[in-house]
This record gives sequence, structure tokens and C-alpha cells, in this order.
Amino acid sequence: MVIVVGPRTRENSELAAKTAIKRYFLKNKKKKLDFKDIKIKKELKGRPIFSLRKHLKIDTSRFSLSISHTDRYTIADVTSRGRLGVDIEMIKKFPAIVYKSFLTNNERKWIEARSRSKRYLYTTLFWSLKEACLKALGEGLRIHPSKIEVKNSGRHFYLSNQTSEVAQLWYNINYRHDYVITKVVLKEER
Amino acid sequence: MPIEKRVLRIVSDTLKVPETRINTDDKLVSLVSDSIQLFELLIRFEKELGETIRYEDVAHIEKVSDIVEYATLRLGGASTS
Repeated sequence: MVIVVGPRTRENSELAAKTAIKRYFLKNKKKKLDFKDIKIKKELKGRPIFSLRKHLKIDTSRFSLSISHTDRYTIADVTSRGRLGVDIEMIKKFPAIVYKSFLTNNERKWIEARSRSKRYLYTTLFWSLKEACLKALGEGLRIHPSKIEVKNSGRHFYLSNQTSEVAQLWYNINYRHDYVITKVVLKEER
Repeated sequence: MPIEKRVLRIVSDTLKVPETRINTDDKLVSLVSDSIQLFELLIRFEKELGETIRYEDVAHIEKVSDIVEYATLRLGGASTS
């Protein structure tokens, strides 16, 4: 995962995405890429994809790239383990209409049983996990976030959705800078 | 109230921008500051335009003018507020 600090611009998106791709290939394929070898594009539904210069002879269709922004940060990551979605959100109070709509009844009960000081944190974390999952599905908000449920096993959070199996779920809460970062990898459909 | 006016009012109230600054050719994603605001806009369309407006439909819509067209079709040109 790469984090770029700076305003939300296309240049910072490209920088984060290309750095994540460079790191991935260096670490996993022992291949050193230049920024100019990498081209970032978007699919019809807005999902980011990338290609590499032809002479490198690498099929990039089996890799999944995901990018997310706040006003101050851009994050990006890449994987070949499945369909990837990443998300970064500042911890904040959600508008009441959004809070009531995106959470399931079970999620709302779970959040409202937390201490008042933790409720904004968990609301943001639940939103972010759902958003990362929806990005991995390639649909974004075209699917209603309440169709995915965040559950807690006592020690860990996990996701329940009807369509795909979760291969990896990761999250980080940065209390110092008040943001959460989430990452969801879904297994490829067979 | 005409449907276009109702749509523009929802966008204006949600995003806290004057209606005069919203163009019907604007893409919804270019008007909002983040995905939470986009979701708020989509559920307000669903809740405030009438019972026949479905989230799954508006969530596939790109431009403000497309929302107006879709709502006009679903509401049969009804113009009550």
C-alpha cells in the first residue's frame, strides 16, 4: 500500500498508483520498472487498470489496482490475488440520513452499543470496509452499501456479501491523523 | 413544482451550493466532494422524489439531466412537491 500526502489531484493519483505497481513488481517479480513503463487507465465503470510497455511482455489483465482519496491523502495498492478495493476515509460524523441508510440493523445495534467516543470511528470504519468491498466488486455505489454486512467475531471484523468470497480483509486506524484505511480482496469468480 | 426544479433543489440542499451554480449537464461525481456525499445525494433522490424512484436505478445515472429524465419517466410528468 502506498500513501501520497498532498491534495486530491490526478497527478497524485498517478504517482500513488505507479509507485504501488513499481513496488509490487520489484518485490514479487524482481523486476525494476520505470514510471514511463506504466500507463494508468480507467475501465468503463471507472475502475482503474494499468498496462506496461509492450517490450516488457507482461500481461497485466490478471492484476487488480485500486486507488482512493481524501482531501489530504491518496492511497493505492495492487495485487494478483483477486479483485482489490482500497479506501481511505477521515473519521467524522456522518449525516443522519446516510447513517440510517447505509448500515444494516445489526450494524447499527453493534455501533450504538459502543461508547459514544468510538461511534464515529466505527461508523467510518464500516463505511470504508463496505466501500472497499464495493470497489473490489467493480460496482462502487451502484450497489447499495447495506447489501454488504460488516460483522464482528469478537476479535476481528469480517464481511458478509452474497456475491463473492473475501480472500483478504485488512484495516488500519490512524488515531493521530484521524483516518481509517481499508483493503478488501475478493476471490475471482470461477 | 416541476421535476427539474425539485432535482436541482435536492442537489443544492445536499451539496450546500446555490441552484444557479448547478448545470443539468454536470456529472454527479464531479459535483460531490466524496463518496459519502454521492451516496447522500442518491438516497435523497430516492426518498424525496417519490415512491417509484429506486436507488438501484439512480445509482447508475451519470448526469443531473439524466436524473430529471428518469424521474419524469417514473413520475409520469407529475409536478407536485
